[in-house]
Amino acid sequence: MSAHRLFGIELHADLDLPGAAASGPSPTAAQVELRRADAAGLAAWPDDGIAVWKTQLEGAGFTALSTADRRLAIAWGDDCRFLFDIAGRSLLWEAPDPTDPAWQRLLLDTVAYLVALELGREALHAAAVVIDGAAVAVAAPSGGGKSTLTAALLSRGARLLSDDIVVVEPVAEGILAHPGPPLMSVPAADPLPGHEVLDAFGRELWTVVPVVDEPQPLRSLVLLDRRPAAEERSERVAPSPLPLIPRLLAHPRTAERERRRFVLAGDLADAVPIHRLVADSATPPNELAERVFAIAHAHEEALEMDDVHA
Amino acid sequence: MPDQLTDAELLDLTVRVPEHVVHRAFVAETVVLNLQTGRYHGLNPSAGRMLAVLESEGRIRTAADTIAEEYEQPLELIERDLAKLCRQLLERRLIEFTGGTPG
Repeated sequence: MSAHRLFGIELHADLDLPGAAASGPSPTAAQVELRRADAAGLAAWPDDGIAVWKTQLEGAGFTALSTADRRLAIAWGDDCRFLFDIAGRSLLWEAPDPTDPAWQRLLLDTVAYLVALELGREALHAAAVVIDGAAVAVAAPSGGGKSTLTAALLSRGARLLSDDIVVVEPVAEGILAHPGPPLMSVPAADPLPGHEVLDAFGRELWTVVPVVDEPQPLRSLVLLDRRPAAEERSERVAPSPLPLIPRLLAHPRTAERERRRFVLAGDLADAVPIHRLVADSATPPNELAERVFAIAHAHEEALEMDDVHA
Repeated sequence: MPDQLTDAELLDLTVRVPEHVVHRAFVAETVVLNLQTGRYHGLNPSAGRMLAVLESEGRIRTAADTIAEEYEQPLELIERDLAKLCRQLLERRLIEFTGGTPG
């Protein structure tokens, strides 16, 4: 049994998973038990529900069904399944080979954050690193250069908080960003020296990268916009939830959750400086990393000045 | 129906922000979400303030009095602007008449 803290939940697994286990129990993370489905569990597997997500992942069909009795049934390919009981906080799994890195990546990268969302967490589609004790999130669409920029930030001394999905939580002092799994999908053309590569998926290397394992205050949010022939600029965006709403994961899609996401986006806009970083597609990631460091340090200095005058 | 009402008739009615609408004011705009349609709407600061006063006052004519005093503008001008805004908000179901649609 090992415990893994990720996306604001703590997964108590009945099998070994890659990446370091949590260093101790979390007072705030929801506890979820991950265990292999037994015969009774398999017999009770639902085959009906509302499809909340259908896509292709690593060449196999991926479907998530929400059932009337508050369970989330996930199928990937012909023989991999997960069943999350929201009330019981148990996540059953069935797979022919649980040591298969592709299955483990699916569990830690996708299934885990779906479970977190089902438990009420809200998340940004963004990478996050920690610079001088506070988190900086970088949001971009898939293929928008998050991973290459994150790798460049790590090589300059930032620490990884989450690779692709950042659970955010409003608290009295601002917004907390929760760590993701201690793993990262790194562009194969730009591997991270000194880090264990677990497997290659297409043009990505699934790599072990330690994360800061406690939630961190979110100091700034960078909206990365890379496109051909764009003139490079970095500008502060007027506080508004509108640029943030499309970056929040829209699951579950209920009126209550939409309302909560609206409030969260407003809290984010009020509490966290937002910058739009526009760059040509060919701009080297190291140059963008310098820009992100400058943004992070600017707000650090502003906070220090506030402290002086408080 | 609001488009069949004169401004004077409209001003005598009472409106509210329905349950399915949430809004929040920021420095540069007020953002309004209609949860039934999933659509977001942006209001400039003056329109955002009008919505906030409409929500607290209910009766459109009373809201116009408050806003005219606050902005130190002629009441007739504010009533005209507020009636126009109300028609736009009603059309998008971002406000509703209390007790249903008149007429």
